[in-house]
Amino acid sequence: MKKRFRLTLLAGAVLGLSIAAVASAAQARHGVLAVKQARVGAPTALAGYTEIPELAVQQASYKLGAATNPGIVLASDQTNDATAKITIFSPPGYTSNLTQAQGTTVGKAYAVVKAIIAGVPLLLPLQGPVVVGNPADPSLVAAYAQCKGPTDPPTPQEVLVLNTSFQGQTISVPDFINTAGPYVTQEICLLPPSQAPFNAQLVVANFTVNGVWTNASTAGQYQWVADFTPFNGNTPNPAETVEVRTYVGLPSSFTLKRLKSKSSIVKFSGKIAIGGVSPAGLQVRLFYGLKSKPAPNFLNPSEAGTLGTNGKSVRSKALKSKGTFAFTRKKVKKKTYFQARLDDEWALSGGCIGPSPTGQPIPCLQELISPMTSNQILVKPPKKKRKHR
Amino acid sequence: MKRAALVVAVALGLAVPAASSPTGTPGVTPTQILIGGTVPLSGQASAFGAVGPAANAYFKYVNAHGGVNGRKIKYLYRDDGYDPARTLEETRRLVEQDKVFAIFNTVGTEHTLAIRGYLNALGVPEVFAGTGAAKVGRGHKQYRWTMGYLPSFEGEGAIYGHYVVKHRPKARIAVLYEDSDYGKDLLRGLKRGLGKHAGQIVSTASYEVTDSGVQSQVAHLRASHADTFMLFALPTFAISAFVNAYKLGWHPRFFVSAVSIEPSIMAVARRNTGGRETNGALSFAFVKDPTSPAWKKDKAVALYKKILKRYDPGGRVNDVYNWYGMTVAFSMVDALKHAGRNLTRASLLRAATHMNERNNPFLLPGVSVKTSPTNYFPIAKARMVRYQKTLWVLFGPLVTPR
Repeated sequence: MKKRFRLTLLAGAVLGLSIAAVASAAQARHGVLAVKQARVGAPTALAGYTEIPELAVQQASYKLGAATNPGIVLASDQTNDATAKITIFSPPGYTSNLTQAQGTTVGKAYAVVKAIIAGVPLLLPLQGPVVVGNPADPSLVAAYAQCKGPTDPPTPQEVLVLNTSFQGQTISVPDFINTAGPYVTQEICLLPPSQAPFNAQLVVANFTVNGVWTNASTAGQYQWVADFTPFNGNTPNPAETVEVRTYVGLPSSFTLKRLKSKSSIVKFSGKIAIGGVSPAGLQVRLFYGLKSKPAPNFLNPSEAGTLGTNGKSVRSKALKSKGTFAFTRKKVKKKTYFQARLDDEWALSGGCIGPSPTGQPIPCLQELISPMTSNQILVKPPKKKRKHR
Repeated sequence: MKRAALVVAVALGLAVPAASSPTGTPGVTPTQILIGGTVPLSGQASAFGAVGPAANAYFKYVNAHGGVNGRKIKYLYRDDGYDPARTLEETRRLVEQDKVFAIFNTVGTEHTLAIRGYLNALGVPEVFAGTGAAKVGRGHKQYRWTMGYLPSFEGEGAIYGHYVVKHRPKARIAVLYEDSDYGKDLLRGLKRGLGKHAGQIVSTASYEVTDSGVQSQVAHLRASHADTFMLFALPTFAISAFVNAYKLGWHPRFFVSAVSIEPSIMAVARRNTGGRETNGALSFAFVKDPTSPAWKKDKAVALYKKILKRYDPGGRVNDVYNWYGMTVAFSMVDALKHAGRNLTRASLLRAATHMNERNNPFLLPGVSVKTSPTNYFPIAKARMVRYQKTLWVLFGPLVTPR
């Protein structure tokens, strides 16, 4: 989702905006997938999710065999029915380590929920650590019994707890992890708003999980998959379950460089390469701001990282097949940080690749390209020339 | 004979009274000082709950560096759900079952008042309670064992009044206040500060802490066409007031009571009003704001982060109530030090009523903790702050909230 669309969505001034599936019938040609900008404002015909929910997974590395350490974003427009369950499937071919010690902090979480505070409906930010929980904890045992699928083991292989809080009240959300064939699944179950603290309904959640996954060791096309099941009142409504995905091409890379230029301007060039995808038609954004890390970065769950509130942006021209891009800006007056970003606003134009990992005929609404954030460059104002008298 | 009795007592495993506390002061042993208190870990004011764990973290840090006069501090803090009846119940438990030496850092005015009679009857010190109410600060003649910590609420209200007279002389003022000593003190102070301009208060509305919201009160205040909104409300009601005003298209200049200016509270209000209501809001502060770039390189901020990380890892660095918890814990340690090795309840009271603490690193420069047997408002200075986009920014000279 584009930064400004996410902010708009969070501001509640939603004019039918959302990310949407790309309905193009174009198919991958020569094994290279084409992309298209995800359109906003295209409602679904579904009762539970009138706006398409989002899964966007940004990985810490896109190198073969490297630690994945993903930053996962799950979003559902506040006009949708509240979400009861989200099941995330990691890409087949990725390896996993589900043996972290209980109590270990493996990441952090930032979420925005629709809530009711002192009688007023509003959007509430929550944040906190992601901690490895004890599957034998009675509250987690009870939560797992409610959440687990029919083929899941009696005890989860690992449970992560997203311990978010606001005003001293903690909203702990368990994330039950199991291996299921070639996948590692994460199952997240939420309370109906009427029973949740602050009557919370999830709008956006961004969390990192470090030390669990390792990228596949062979180049190829991979995908993260999420199935969203809405509530119907206080009861989960499996019939309205929808699927959304994130495409990851391995290997991929994204760099930004500053070029030499005259002092009145600042020039940048960069290159993006996504395994298995032609970058032709993609656009990247150049973010700039006085604060460090001006671009969104889902590896840093926070207001700035998730929503990109540290910077403003300009958009590149459509990239050609080599994936190179360039930006020219006026000289800066103050120390300014620059960072490029492939936002979570691009989808495969041919729609989702392959059937649902569940084996069920769940409609797949879109497959986003994994968002990426480039390195950061600090630009200082040019030194003033001394006048010789 | 005495020696023989002592040997028998030791052989039976009986506790030996502390050599350094000949009176057998409850909660004090040669190695430990047991103190207790209540904080709202749940309920409408759970935002304040962080002051308990944060103060405890500071005590653990002090313990790791040798403790106070050779004793470690053990702090039992219990949840009272911000319900004065539960405050009394939990305090009785702390005093009668846990045998605490003193009650420290009770959060809330009604809560402090609920236990004041009980503790004073027993001669148990109740020090540095989280209140700036006049009933507490000026009640020392009758209740000498009870002392608050916050600047006077009435003084805070007066500062806003003075500010309005000087900078917004034509202001039309609406006031939302909690129907409690906290809210009434602020309103009384505001009127005192306004002086002959008190007639510029064109509308007032109160709420009960048990109310579900303040929509109707805000609508009533808006109808007065006031251009200045005094928000003497707890955090959740403050957020509600900001958002309700925004939804009604009312954009007055806000003055926010200092207990509700925690940055995450303001962030929620800002996000849900597009910054329209929060930008330019005024308040006052006596502690540094660890979230502000102004204190980024401050040694106290580094110490605070270190303590929080080590002793309260679940505590959020950006939560200023954590900072406050350490501020008040610093003063408690100071008081315990000055109470001496022969620690008694009377010596703690003597120390607490003779504070002259100028080195509390968590307070703003120029703000000190100063008390006397006739001055039970430890914090006598503060500074005005203005909310600019996403941050509180200090401005103006030190002011005296009296």
